Amino acid sequence: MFEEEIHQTIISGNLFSSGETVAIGASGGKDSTVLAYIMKLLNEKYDYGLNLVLLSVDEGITGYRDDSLETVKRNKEQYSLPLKIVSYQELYNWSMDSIVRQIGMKNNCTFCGVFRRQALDRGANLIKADKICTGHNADDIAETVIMNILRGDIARLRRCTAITTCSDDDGIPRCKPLKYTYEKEIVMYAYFKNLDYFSTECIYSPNAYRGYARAYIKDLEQVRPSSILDIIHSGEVMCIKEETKMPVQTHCERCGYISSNKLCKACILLEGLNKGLPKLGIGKTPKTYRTEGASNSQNLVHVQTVLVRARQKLAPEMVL
Amino acid sequence: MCTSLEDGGLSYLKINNESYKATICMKCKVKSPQVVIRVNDAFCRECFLMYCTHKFRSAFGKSKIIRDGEKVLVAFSGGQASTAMLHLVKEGKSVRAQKKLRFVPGLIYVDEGAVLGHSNEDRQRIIDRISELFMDSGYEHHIIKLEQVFSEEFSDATLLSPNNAEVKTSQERLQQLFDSVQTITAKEQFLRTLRQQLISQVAKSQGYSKVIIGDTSSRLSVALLSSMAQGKGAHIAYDTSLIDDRYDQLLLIRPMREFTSKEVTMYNRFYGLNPLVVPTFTTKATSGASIDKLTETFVSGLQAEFPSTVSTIMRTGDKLSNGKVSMPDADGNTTSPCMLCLAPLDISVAESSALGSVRYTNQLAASRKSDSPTSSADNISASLERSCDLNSYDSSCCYSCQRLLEDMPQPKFLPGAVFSREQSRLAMKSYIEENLLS
Ligand SMILES: [Zn+2]
Ligand SMILES: [Zn+2]
Repeated sequence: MFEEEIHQTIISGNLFSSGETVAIGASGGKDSTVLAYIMKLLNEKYDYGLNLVLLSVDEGITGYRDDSLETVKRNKEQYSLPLKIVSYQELYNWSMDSIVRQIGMKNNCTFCGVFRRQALDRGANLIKADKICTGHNADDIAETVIMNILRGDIARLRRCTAITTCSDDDGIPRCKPLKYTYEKEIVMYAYFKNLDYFSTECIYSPNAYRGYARAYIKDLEQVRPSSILDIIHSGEVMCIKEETKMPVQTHCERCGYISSNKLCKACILLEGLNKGLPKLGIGKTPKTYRTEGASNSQNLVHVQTVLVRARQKLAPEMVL
Repeated sequence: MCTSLEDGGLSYLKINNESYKATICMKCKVKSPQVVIRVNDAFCRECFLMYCTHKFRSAFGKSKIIRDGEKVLVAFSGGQASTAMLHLVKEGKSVRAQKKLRFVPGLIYVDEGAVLGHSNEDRQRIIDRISELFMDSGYEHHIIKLEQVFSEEFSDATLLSPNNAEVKTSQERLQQLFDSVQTITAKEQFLRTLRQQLISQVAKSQGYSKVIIGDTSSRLSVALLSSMAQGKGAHIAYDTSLIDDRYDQLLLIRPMREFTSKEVTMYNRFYGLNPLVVPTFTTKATSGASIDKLTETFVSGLQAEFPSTVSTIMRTGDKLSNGKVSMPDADGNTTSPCMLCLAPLDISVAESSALGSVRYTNQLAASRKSDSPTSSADNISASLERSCDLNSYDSSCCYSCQRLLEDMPQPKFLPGAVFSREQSRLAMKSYIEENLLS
């Protein structure tokens, strides 16, 4: 039944077409392990005709990611799927460990989140994937809806319940086959199928604010078990006023990644790291980096990173 | 209306916040400050009250929604916010007012004591106090019992005496109805729906075209999140914006929308007003008692730590419009609104949607019911009671009201008069015949 529900989600949402290469975002955690297992199973059972590849991002966190990557490597053997790993170190010249050494424990999740979004797209590009699918479950999506209301982020609020997102023609579409699957169903499925996954929390402090939203969702589920799907329904049927301004998407001047400002968030954060100004890019985008008033662009210090390369086809900013 | 968030306002409210050292009022720059509304905003008494009056008046000014001489019904619950609202109306009508309010106010109080478990003595005590207050105002007024939703002639909105035999039987019917509701979340939602229906019926029958209700930003930010959590995403603007236009020929207006619960409490305190404390379903309950209560605890906790929480939620709400989800059906007929909450239906969704996935799960569960048990992994969803039977009211209720009715297994005493719309009535009748009279 669990499997059929996810099959139904994939079919009714037209998530894939035959012949496509699909990158499965694999972190070694329960969601992505279940996703990899079930994608492999459904692809064979229902003859989707997909070319599945595991794609992992190595943030460079000793004692967390190195162990979880071992899990992914075992999954690679268990499910006989190819695996591609891209690392922060090779993409940005910084690992999370070295970032934390420089900036301390505060805000490091901002760096990690921004970098991971791009890293997954870059990895998918390298393996010429047509689609990326991620293990976000119903609980994650409900939590994100609540987060975006609390943050007043109307653009993300609109996008976060979409099953497939692609805000840019160049981008690789992302989809969430587990969108309607409760976290506890995933845990039970992984348990019954005896799946090999890694369940340690990241050693760097989790986002406290997101923690509140998470606790609220869990409490809601206690009060009314359908609450999580009810929130997703709310997100799906809600309407944004037409006159509401949405950020105009352009491309980062430095790396070509999609961005609503002159420089994408990752490049601003990197510049801060490289110049020893780690506060740069935390919170609101500084004026100098916004698209309006473009005259300041010459003043920017040109930072030599692996990101500075020819404009290439890159995917949209992740929407969760 | 009268929520415990507002009633509890006093506990965290402190005049002259110790951490803040303003020495003069930020407005007049003369007097010493007596209230700090936000960090760095310290007002003296006079400037604060002027600020409140201005805020209240601008709610009408901005939209020019109320015409001169129009009858406006003031929904009064006795709580902090509606006490302040009634006072603002009275001040606006008084000779002291700089620019007089030009509408003709009337007052309404809905006595919900029957379902809130109040004793008859308590109910009478509250009603006596409200009547006195209403009489003093000199405005036309209506004190309605919630059980009058059962009354055949309640559209006449007569002031019924508590000894009236008709009321007594309808009181029992109402109590039975609420007793059959299994969760406090559903009780609260159902009470809200009935109250609004009743107020709008009285308003229409008495020639009012506007109703003003005292929802503050603190209350509405909770309502917004709570509505989201109850699947009312398509109706956020109805539930929280300045104007709720879901009712036929009647507008619901929320002029207290820019006030925080703290401001309302200060206002009442400066004028020496004493709001009523009417216990609700969750007054003494823990935070997990209902979705509303949980959300209220959640928002006030965040607000204490991040003072911009309420205003950010309200800003998000301002950018939402009512969902245009009442799609025409195959024959081009627009569907009627939800028979319970009267908001447009939000259930014509694509197969790839939350509702679609619920429907599919139900379908699977139904087809499996007769089968012998398969592997345990296969039955996870079923064992988690994920499937909820949303089919029963499929076409006549919105998603959220369907959830409400799930918690109400035998709505056999539903008051027909509430669902006055012809089509709704028919739908309800056939539903009752099919499902309940067996
Ligand atoms: Zn960039
Ligand atoms: Zn409804």
